[in-house]
Amino acid sequence: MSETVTQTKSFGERILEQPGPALVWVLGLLILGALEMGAIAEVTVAIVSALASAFASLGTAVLGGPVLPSISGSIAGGLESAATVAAGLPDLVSRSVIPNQGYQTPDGVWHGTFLGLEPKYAWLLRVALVYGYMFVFLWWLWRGYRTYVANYRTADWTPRDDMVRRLRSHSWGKFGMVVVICFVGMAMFAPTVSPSTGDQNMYNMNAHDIQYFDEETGSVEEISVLQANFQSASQGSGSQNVGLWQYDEFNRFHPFGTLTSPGQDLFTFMAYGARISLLVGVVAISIALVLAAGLGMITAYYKGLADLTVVFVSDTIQSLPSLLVLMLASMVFSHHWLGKIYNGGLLLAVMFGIVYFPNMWRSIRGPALQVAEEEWVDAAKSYGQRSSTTMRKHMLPYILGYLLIYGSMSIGGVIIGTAGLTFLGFGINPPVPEWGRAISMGQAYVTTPAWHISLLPGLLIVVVVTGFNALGDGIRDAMDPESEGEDTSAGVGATGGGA
Amino acid sequence: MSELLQEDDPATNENGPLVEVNGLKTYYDTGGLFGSNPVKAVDGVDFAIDRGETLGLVGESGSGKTTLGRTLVQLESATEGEVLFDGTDVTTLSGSDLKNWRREAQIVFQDPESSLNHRMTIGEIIREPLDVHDWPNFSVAVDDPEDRSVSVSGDGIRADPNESADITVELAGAGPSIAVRDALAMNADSVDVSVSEQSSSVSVSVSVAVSKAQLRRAHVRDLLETVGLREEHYYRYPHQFSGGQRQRVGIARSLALEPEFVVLDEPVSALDVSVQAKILNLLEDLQSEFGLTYLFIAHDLSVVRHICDRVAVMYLGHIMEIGETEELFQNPENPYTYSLLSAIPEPDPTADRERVTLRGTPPSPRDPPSGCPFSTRCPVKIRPEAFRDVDEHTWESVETLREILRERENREMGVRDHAKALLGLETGFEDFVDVAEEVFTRNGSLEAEGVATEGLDDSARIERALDDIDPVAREPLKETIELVLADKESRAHELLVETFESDCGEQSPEHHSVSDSGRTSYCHRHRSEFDDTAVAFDDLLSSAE
Repeated sequence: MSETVTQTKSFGERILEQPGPALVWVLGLLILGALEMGAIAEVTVAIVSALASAFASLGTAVLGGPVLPSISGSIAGGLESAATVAAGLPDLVSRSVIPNQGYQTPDGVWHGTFLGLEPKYAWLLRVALVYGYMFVFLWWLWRGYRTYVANYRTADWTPRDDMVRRLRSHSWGKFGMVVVICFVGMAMFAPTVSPSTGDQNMYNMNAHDIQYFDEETGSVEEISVLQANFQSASQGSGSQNVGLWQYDEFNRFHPFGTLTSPGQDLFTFMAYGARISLLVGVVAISIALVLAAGLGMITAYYKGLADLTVVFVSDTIQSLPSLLVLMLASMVFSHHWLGKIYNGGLLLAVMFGIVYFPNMWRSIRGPALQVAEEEWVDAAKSYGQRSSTTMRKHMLPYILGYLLIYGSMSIGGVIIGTAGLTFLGFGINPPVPEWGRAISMGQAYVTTPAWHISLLPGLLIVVVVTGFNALGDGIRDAMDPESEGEDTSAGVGATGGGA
Repeated sequence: MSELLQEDDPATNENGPLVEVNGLKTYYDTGGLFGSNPVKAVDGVDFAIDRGETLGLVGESGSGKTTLGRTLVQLESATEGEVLFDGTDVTTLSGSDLKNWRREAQIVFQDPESSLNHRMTIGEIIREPLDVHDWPNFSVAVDDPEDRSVSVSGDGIRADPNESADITVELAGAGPSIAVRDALAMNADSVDVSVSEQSSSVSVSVSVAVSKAQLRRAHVRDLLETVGLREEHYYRYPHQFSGGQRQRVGIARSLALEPEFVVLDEPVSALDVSVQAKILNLLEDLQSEFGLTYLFIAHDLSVVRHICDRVAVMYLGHIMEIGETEELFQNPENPYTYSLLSAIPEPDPTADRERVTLRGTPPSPRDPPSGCPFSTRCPVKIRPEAFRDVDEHTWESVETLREILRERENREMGVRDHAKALLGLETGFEDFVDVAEEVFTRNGSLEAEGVATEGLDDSARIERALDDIDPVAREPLKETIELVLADKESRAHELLVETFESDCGEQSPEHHSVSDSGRTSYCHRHRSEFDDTAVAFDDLLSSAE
């Protein structure tokens, strides 16, 4: 809810009147931003170029030929130069500042790593730095909100204050939030937290060489990553296994061990896989939420035929076995351009969104019908408010809470579903990493020393899904004023609106 | 204002009533696929509300008074009839005409808990109507002594001649003199007007230095003060207020667009008695300050008596009586009004005033009785000639039996009941002897009268029960019961109606004028051949003693 109205003074004027706290906060934000300027620029460029290429491929698909090649060419050129500029910007939390790949000579000295540290310590330092930076950044945002509340907000109390207070005292919800933040961090900073890089480890193994110290020849040799990976793959037998927290024979550190042939680093695989899971989950849930919220409000406001139509459509979708529909869709679209975006990831997300929305719509239908019966909706009608605005202003805030809860609770299902489909060989195609594929690859080795291949991705899925559910629980309890028993110090009859 | 309203000649409307309702019907559930039986919430009402007047609307729950109020502000669409507002039928308005008209008619809801969105601040709530209508529209009236044609450009628009303009430009004298309406919190300095005059036309360009948002905020603050709240409440949420304060916010919101007509839908019934008086006084003050016209819906008769100039009494979608408040309260003419008023508790415990208690509950508005809607419960219903002198117990038994048969006829038979009837199984009608016994005996059952029922067969039991009934009525009643027991229930009902029905249940009454002040009452008793209500009630009460 934006406080657009002000007490004769606008937001800007209130800040000018008392600039201290705001200046401190903005300064802190700028410092934090400057530390990561390179990454921010790179991400921006990456997003723009991804959009541009998606647009180009869409154009190709729709028009059946390259769209305006000269323009797309010049755009591509521009993006490339922007990428070089971005790469040149300073970036504290990055691989190049704290490298962890190197080799050890017989005298015990490490070459190529950060300050000559052992690769595992260099890697640990980098991971700690990434998460430290992230939590400081989030804390700073939270502080910004507190600064706003304490100094610049005109209302001395809003219903949201009670929600925040309830969420802060909800340990299970906070646990969920930490897990989700760690998961999102892993996905966002995948290139930095991984011991190896995605390009080196998965997409272009042949194009990269690494140096290592060969004891037989007694000199530093070069080998392609593909070769090295083949030789360090976990095959389940004692000699052919790189397990948890071990180095392989090329002096590379593998915190989670290696996969089976061709022996990629499992942690790198998981970090990049987190991106897929998160993307599919977030896109799918967003689609489902937007459909559910829009249809939920329309059906509650107009009732009658609109309601009947949506009931019919959602019943139809729900009567289909969703897993089979998803498999069918991945098969049918496997050679279609839609099925090629992100190696099937987008298709899967869209399908999950469509399959998930009926359930979500039904879940919010009750609350939506309830709020549509409130007299303030009639009041809005009585002074001629547009129906779309009435839905947005007078109904959406009351079902938003439910949407957040159902969204965070079902995102786990989508992550499991994606992993399951990939496990079965549908869903996300190689080489794009997906946790389900790791589980499937390690399935034959669960009783061997290479148990880590299946077990770790499986455990992580469990933890992440639990985390999302815990967060959903926390949000639900925070939204529900009845959930708190004793604390009535707010004294304002905190019946936060039933949402 | 809309084009439609502009077409009307203001002169003819100024003195007429503000709101005129003709034959208004509002039915619910009309759109059944296989022919429907709608709820007749409002079933043909006619009345008018004068400018500046407060019309009270009273009635039991379910009498349709709230639906009527909601139809007047177009929250429900009328099934039939018209609502003339300043001479325009608003039931036919749609689109932007309807939206423009909504400025003129607002509603205050019953429950201040539900009528304010908890997620918005008080300021946002009161401001919303202003945002919706882009208030103020800076309407400019040009006062030109030469009466040339005027065009307005810039921030302003040309004012509707019926409306008071936001900005008035007077062209007399050396330069144009500017006046700003009081409701706008700016002075004339903030308005810059440039006038170019030709011989036959004037074009006025207006620019306003103050933003609309600022004016709206100032207006909301004024409204807060007008309804007795404080400026700093602007940023509070509804939860931080008491019920009375919230109702003040609801009133402020309804006044934001400066309406002429406000429907007050039981505005104080959800409030503490101590707060009620304050809100009622506020409403009266606002009425005199802004010249408002009220439709005051209530079920608390003392509140109505306090605040209303005229009162309309509603029953089952009909207006039973409408007239001057004091006159109606002192001397009710309609039997329903009479019964309703006799239900007001008397503060003096020693006063021996007879109470009229109404039998049963109002019939369902899906199946209203034929004839007069009150005929099924009326204590002074006109009796047919032959039964005019039967005792009260007999007449009540007849009426009760009729009601039972009527309800049974209208009751919904489920699939199982239908199947049972087809198979000749019991359908729940067979215990009618017990019903008859209970209806006919004075004490409720034969046993209570000391009659041994053991060994009596059905006809003997009925015979004994009919002993309490006036001999004139025994024969038709006995025949009726026999028909019911023979499973000819509809025939039994017909017989009962044929024998005991009068005009009350057969034809709709007329709205008889019952006083010089224009009071009307919807009852057959006002026809010259029948006793008046007061006389009938006197007879009734004296016979009960």
